[in-house]
Amino acid sequence: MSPTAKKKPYKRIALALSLCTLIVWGMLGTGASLAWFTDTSPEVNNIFHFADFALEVSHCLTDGSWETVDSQTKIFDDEALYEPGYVQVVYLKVENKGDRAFTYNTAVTVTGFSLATNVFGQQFSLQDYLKFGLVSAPTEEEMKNSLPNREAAEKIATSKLNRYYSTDTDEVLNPGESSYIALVVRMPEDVGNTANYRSETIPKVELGIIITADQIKN
Amino acid sequence: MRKLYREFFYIPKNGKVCEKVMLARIATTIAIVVVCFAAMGISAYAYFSCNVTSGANVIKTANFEAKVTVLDAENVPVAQADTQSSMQAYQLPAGTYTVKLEKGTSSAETGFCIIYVGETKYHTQQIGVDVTATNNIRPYVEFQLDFKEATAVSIQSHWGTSSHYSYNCTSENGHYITNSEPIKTIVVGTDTPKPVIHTVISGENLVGIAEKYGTSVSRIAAYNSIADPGNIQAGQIINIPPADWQLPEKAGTTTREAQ
Repeated sequence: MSPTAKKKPYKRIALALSLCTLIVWGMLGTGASLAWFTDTSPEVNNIFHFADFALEVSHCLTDGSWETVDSQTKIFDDEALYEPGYVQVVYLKVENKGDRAFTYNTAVTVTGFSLATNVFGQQFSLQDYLKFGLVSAPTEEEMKNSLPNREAAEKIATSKLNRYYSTDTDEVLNPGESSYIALVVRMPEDVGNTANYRSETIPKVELGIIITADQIKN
Repeated sequence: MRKLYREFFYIPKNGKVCEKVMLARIATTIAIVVVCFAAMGISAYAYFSCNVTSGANVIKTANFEAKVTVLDAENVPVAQADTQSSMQAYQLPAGTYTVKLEKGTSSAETGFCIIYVGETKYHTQQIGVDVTATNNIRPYVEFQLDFKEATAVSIQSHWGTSSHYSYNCTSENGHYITNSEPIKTIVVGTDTPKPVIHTVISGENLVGIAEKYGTSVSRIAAYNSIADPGNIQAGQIINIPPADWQLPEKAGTTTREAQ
């Protein structure tokens, strides 16, 4: 057999292996990208099903009913005007609708803000004055009992609204369980004329609330 | 292309592999393996985690601005001394003035005012929207100024709530602010002292008013001809009797000299 004939099988094997590697690599990359950037299941209202893993988040309306949260839902009242002493509390319910336990983490991020000019002619940002806080409880009743009045809510909201706020530890939610979260935003009473705007631009802050769940082994 | 193909996929004719080619093949293989594992890890993580994101929540603020009107004794508005300052400043000659403070047109919420009379500072009640029977917010507050000498007055509107300032305000509607403390008074000729005027607010009674002005319920009731001291109405004007005013004797009483 000639040397050239001997080489041909090796050429084909090497070529085939290389092509397979490239194809597998391409598939993995594409799959990872799709899985990373797409997380909605539009036909099922905000319930994400991957295997048996399902997270649902709802927010409490003024009549006490719960409405599912999606990327269009505004949890805080857009029309509220914050002044010194103003406090707003919103309630969220996190439910495990699947068969797999998961840990979840709540994060609040500032997605945008507008600067304004105060009575002294100085520019200021509203996020330098607002205070934020978060508390969780296993039942709705416990949740609302932990914030019976405005003073209790004020005591919880002590963090500054920086660009990103996240809970320190991840809560565990077993299948079928629910957990409740209260988010509090307030304007401290002692905020004075340094945040009293005179400009045409109304100072404001845009907040995004993200709840992330990760599967854990049962 | 043919050269690249030969370089990476063909074993050289003499069976030996050039070191450079070997290193290139190994580096490429390792890079591909690392990328594959990374992609597998990312896809596994993305597969077993998810998140819910809300819409954009807008938090916006209100502001407070007061409309200040200072009228002299002839009800003529007094011009500001300095329009550049964040405070409304006036240089007022001796005389009497009426100051009215109300919510400005661009004000979106409530606040209060600080009135600087010389070195002294007064906090007013809250002024603005959301006036109810139970809160301490008024649509306006009005004061009288009585100066025996030229005095600088500054008025600054302040954004703030009631629990810190207005419930503990140092000046209420109808108060009478004067710079004529004895040490500072310049008296030209004689001057008939004017009564202090107090406007009753909801929840007040004559006992509290008498205590506030250092007088007694009976003196106030007699000075204002109030038949029932326990029955005063919110908004009622009470004249506080001067210290040297004598309480009249009751009708029908007689005085007998001791024998």
